[in-house]
Amino acid sequence: MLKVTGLTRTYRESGGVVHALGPVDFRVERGSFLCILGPTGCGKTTLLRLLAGLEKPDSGGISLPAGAGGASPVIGYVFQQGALFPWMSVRSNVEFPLRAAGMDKSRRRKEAEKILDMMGLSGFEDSYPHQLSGGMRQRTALARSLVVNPDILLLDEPFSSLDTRTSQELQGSLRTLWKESSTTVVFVTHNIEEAVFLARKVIVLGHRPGRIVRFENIDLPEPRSRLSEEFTGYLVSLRRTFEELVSGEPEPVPVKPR
Amino acid sequence: MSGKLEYDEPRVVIRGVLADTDVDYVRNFFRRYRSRILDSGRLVVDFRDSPGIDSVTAVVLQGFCNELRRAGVRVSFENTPRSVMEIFESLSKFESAASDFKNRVSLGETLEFIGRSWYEMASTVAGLGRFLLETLGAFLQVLLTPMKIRWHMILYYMEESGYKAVPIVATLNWLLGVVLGYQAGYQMRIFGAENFMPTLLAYSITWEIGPMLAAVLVAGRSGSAYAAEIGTMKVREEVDALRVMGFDIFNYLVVPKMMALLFVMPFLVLLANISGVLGGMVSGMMFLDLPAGTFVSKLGGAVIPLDILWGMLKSVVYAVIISTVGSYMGMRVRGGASAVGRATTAAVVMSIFMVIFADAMLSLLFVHIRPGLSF
Repeated sequence: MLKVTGLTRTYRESGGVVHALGPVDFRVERGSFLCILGPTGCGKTTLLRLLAGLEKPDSGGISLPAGAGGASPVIGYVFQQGALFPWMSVRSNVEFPLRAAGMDKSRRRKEAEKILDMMGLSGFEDSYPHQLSGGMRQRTALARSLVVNPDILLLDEPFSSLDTRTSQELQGSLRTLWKESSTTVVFVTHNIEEAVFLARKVIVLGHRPGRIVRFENIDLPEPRSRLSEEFTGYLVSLRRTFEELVSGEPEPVPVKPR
Repeated sequence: MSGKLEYDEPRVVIRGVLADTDVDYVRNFFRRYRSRILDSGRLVVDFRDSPGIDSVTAVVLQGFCNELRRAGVRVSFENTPRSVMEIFESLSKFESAASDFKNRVSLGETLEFIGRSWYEMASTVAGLGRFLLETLGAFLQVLLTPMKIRWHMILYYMEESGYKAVPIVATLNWLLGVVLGYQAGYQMRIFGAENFMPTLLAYSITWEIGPMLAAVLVAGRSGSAYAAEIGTMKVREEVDALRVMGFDIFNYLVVPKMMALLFVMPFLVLLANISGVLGGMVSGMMFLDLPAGTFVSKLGGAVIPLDILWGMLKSVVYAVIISTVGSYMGMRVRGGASAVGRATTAAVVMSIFMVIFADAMLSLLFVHIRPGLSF
């Protein structure tokens, strides 16, 4: 169970105190897929960084789903621009987190090989990040976060700088990988379609301070199709919430043409 | 067109009413006659055939007259109508008020500015202190578990910050030694005391100039590089990636840099001392007829091992300062590439400042340590 209670975060800036987030409360069961959806600057990345422990909250608590045998959970994090280490090859990048875990060299290599194969990166092991396309880079970043077998996988708009086709392809891969695992996924995005396609649960965050304005369960038959009527229904409904957020007033209900 | 200008050296005669629509005409007229007016050095603007001009034209006319005045032309007005006079007067009033406005800052703003800069400086120093403590903590931890030491990174930084700094440290100190030897010798010769030049040179190089110049050069070469390296990693979220993977940032990024500088700095200072003294020796041979043998024997009588050792000891402090400040400024980077540039500059300025400050403090101490130095 991923549980967040009364989470708030403020930043001290030269202009004074900026209230970035909260209070935010939600809970998601283990193995779920949660999308945090919100307009730019609503604090969704802040929320993700708090979950990862990269920042400390002003108040409130976070309890992450426990790891195997009650150990502290293993976290995987995919950054917006990948944050691959430019001086390392694809293979070394993917092996790298295993080094922190103290795994020996031959096992590291085997684990990396397995995940690279799964992500369709075989043949690119010895390339360097700058030699790869944007899609390949994000695939590598995803592989690097999955190689540790995370209990919770956090993704910060990982596909936002890719073209639509590549982005949809990666969304498909991510979804397949998630279904085969028991990992809890938290995915931050400002793209409504992406959220509806991927998530089992969607949280919509409002503007500063970031607060939950809507909690939505996405119940769609598998495999999900972007063309189904239910899909479009969720899309329109969430877009309406979004428009209300951005414009600050409810969107007029469209009049049916006669 | 409603009005007209005529040039009859030194006179510009205005006929009729110059309307706002005539601005271009006025401009072109002055451009055409500019060089002739400048040659004559005198201009009389004559309104005898004009009842007045519109305000925009007046502004343009005034502008040209001011420009000509600045170029040294004597400009005067004749038969100026009251209405035009008023426009000119209010214009010059407005201009002086505008320039006045720029220079005047209220006391409150000044106090706020002073307070804010002090606050920022204090918080930077406090942050630096915390950062240093955490780094030293990580440092001790690494010393207790030598398996964790990243030797290849230390070697890499030793090469970058130490080995590659050898030519510049040696050359600059040698040059400084030559100049110092010559200038000191020149003054001392007046009293017939040029035999003391080696002693003066050796003391000033080994006590102050050698360690200081080496530290300044390393701060400029490596302190900035550390800030840029960590700052870029920060911008690209690589630092966060390391943290999520469970790496200790201090152990991984800061400690190797500090260790490398600790290993390398004392030897750079030694090198600086040697090349500085050699420069002085060359200077003595060339300008003061001081043979190398005499020079060396003078040195032997004056310099004690503590002098050399002290500079190397000071360099340990400088190494800590430069690596900590560089890394700290890098870690503080938030935002984009321009923040990295600012951090680089801040790292160099701050570390040189702190090196000189630390040097002053250590010199106070040295006076009590070194035999024969206190009065």
